[in-house]
Amino acid sequence: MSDEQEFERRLRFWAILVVAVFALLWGRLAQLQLVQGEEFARRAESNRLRLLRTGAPRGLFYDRWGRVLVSNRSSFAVVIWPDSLGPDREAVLARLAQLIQVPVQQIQELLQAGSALPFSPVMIKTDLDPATVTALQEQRQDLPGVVVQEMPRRYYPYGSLAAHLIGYMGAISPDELREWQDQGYVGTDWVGKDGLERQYEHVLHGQSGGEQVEVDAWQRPAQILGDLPPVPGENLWLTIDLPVQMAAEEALRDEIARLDRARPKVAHTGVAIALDPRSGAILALASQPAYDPNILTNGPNRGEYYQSLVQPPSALINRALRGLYPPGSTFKPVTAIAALMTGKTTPEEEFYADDIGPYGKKDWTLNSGLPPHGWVNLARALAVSCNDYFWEMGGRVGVDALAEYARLLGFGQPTQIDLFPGDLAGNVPDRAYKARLYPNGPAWQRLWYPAETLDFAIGQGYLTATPLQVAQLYELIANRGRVYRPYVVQGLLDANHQLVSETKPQLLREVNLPDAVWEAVEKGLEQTLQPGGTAAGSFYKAPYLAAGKTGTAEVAGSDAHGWFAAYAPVGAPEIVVTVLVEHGLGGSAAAAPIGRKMLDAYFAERKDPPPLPTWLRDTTGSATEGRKLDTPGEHPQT
Amino acid sequence: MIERRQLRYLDWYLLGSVLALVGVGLLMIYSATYRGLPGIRVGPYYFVVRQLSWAIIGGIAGAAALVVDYRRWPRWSRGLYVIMLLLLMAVLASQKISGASSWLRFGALGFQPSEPAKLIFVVVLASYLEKNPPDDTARELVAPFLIAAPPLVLILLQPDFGTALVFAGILLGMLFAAGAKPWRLGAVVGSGVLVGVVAAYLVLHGVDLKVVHPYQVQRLLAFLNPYHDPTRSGYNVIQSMIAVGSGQLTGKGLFAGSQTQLSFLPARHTDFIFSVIGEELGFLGTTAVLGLFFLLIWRSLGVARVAKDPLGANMAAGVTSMFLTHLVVNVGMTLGVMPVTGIPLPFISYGGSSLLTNLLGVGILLNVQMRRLKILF
Repeated sequence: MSDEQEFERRLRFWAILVVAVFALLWGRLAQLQLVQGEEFARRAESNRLRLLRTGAPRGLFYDRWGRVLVSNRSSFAVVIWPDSLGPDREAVLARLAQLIQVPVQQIQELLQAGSALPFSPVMIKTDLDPATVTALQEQRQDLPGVVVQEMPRRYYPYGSLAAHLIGYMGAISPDELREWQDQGYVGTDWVGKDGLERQYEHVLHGQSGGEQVEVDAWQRPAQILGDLPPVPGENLWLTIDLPVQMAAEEALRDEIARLDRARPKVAHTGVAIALDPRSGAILALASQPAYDPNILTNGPNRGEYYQSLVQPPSALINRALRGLYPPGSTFKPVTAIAALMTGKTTPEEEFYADDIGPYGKKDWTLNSGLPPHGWVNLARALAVSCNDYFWEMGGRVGVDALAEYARLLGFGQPTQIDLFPGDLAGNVPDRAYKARLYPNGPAWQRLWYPAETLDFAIGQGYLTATPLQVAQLYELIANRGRVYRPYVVQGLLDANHQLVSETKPQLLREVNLPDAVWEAVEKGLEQTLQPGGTAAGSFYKAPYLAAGKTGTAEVAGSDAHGWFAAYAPVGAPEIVVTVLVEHGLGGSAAAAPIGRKMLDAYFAERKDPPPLPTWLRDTTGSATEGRKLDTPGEHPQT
Repeated sequence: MIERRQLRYLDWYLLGSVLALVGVGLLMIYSATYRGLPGIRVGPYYFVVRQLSWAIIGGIAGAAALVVDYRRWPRWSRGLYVIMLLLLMAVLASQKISGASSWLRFGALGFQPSEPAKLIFVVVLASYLEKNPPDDTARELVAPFLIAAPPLVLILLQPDFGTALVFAGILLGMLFAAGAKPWRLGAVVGSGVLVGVVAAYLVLHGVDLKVVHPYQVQRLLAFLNPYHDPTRSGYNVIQSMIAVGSGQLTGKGLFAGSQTQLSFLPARHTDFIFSVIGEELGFLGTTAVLGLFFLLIWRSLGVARVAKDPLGANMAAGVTSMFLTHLVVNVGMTLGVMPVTGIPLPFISYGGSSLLTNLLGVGILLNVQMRRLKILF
């Protein structure tokens, strides 16, 4: 074979190689572009197209006169699209870590935890300061996959004021997400966790909109392809009266601080409630200790803060709705009504109180070194809070009738307030209850004893109630038998502040008793606040006529709780207040002054009304009737 | 000098395919860069105009390479070889100083010595093989490998694995054309692959070989399973395959590829320009471009065939090997069947050194082809 032929042979071999190589490349092209072309086209689309959620602005809270209680403020967050970090992932994360002052380790962990869903951003840090936002924007060319996103945050301008009523927000939980995802919720949503934020979550949340955006490899929008504007959440127009709420919070705080100094070993807590007896509208609802929803919602250390709040006395509990206490002497009007209705006494009957009751029980007078109450009638017994008298009445009425009247007047059942997490029922004891208490006990233990009736008659023993139930009792007395369902939301307003729905007062109960009964009880409550009564000191020279009752509920082994409940003005009541100071030692000293301050705040505002925002001036309908400042409400009975 | 007659022997198919490829390159570079590039703010025509200038310079250089009869070149091969080594060492030295890549910078002008080094290697090796054809014993293969070793080592030290692959391709192609026994070359390739596989395995399992970092090996091997690490080592391959695949039959249209225009595709005007063609012009476009390359390489082989002497045949074989290796490694990379090594697609990728070198290569081919007949005076 010649060299020439040999070379030809080699070239032929080479030509075959070239053809084979081209055939392979061409085949691969056919595979990618023709066979798998549609699949790759889809993936190119998912690279390019982003459905950016535009969160709806959350509804605001207004007080009854249109003052903003809860609002939103703008803030910036940095998120990472993990699929877009690019090949220099480590360098990008290191750069980002330095800019936002978060350890790389922590960012890695967040990415690890958040990358369960493909093509979804992972929140890295919220509430960036403006300098960081600027720095991130400037360097975004070097930060592929890192996006600064506007994210409105909840703002509670009054801090812990009415915290339990307002509530707070937090990241949606897996359970909530499962339940609500049909309604458009996603994993990065924040939702209400307590109070109204929770109760009205679906109203406040609105419908998030979406923008279909074409983005480049750095997730920067190149152009907007479609736009669905968000539907803002509805605003809550509350029944809360800001000055009354503030007065309640401040007075409670001062009193608790004073008690903490005087009795440092006892944990002091407190509740103050004000409501409008004409409708059941809650004017103020304070429970202390409280939390700052700003920290709990937005704080960088909210987890630790939450843990600290769980420690006793738990600041997370709304004691107004879920604290169960013996109502003490604030219960005495029930015993009085039961005694009058069963014919066991008359308003006029004079009873000599030597203040030593059956079984040698001593009244508080003797325990405090005071002389006994002496001759008292029903009104006087209420005014001076004579236990001896009500022991006597309890004995005459008996546990069965007493329990019946306690239930009739509202104890032992929830008030149905429209507020998460709802209120407790409390306990009205009777013979059956005692048997239930010791299901397997010996017969003597399951028996109801007359001495237990005596405790019941003065609001002690097995009887428990929430502060809201006590407030409702005084609403019932003020209204002469009518009780409305308590509510805190007067109406829902759309984004333009048009009233979209309103709460109409809802009569829960109507107890028809003879006028003489109401008059006798009211007389006693009125005298309580007059010279000689147990709350006289706190109501010295009050510019309005109020009626009320103090209470001192004994607690085994600790300081007694102080109670106070009242309404005003007598004759045409507009406001009921109820105050509880846990371990406050006494109702007269600890609770009544707080009630006085709340009533003062209410009547001061009534005299000097605040300017109304336009939307409230224009709001008409039954929801605003009786709420206009120029037409102070009439007593519904007259 | 050139005889008028010789011009008639110019292969117009070869020249035409080159011109067409350069034209396609200019068009695709425009499409890839008219919106600007990540981090670079220049006018829409910046890259096209620069590439066009290099095409003109390259055309002149290629024409110049035609002028001097290739048979006169071997006498300069020693000097060229020394210059090549000096340039490659200069790159390493400048890396030490500035930490730069495979570039030598002269003010605003950048230059990659490894590009012309390939052609110098072709000329030097062709000259040697003309005198010492490796058609008999295994020992004859030793010297060519020794000639190849210094530049290969210098290039691997940069490290520029892609260009090293091209050097290997040129070496093998020329040895084969010059008469080496295919099974010997096969044995060399086989043992080379074996060494590479073992080295890669060791590096990936924690053995420090000092020469390469594990991440370099990972990046190199990412094409085997890009989804193992889709946001890092596999990113380029995945984005490129998405770009090519999503072009489907007819493409998304010129200037309208989302992978390209929205910067998902890395190095879109240089190493991954074939992906731009795939995305915007579809299977029809890639087939046409592959067709042009097939024409070019086929005609290049033709030059080797018609060369009047072994020197010309060797040179043509070397340039053909260079084109073929570049094409396979680059296109294979964009299609996810070759490692991501970062070498340009001849005539099409943006880059002056590369275009100039390839046009010079065409000059060499035409020089050989034009002088295929003995000219009698």
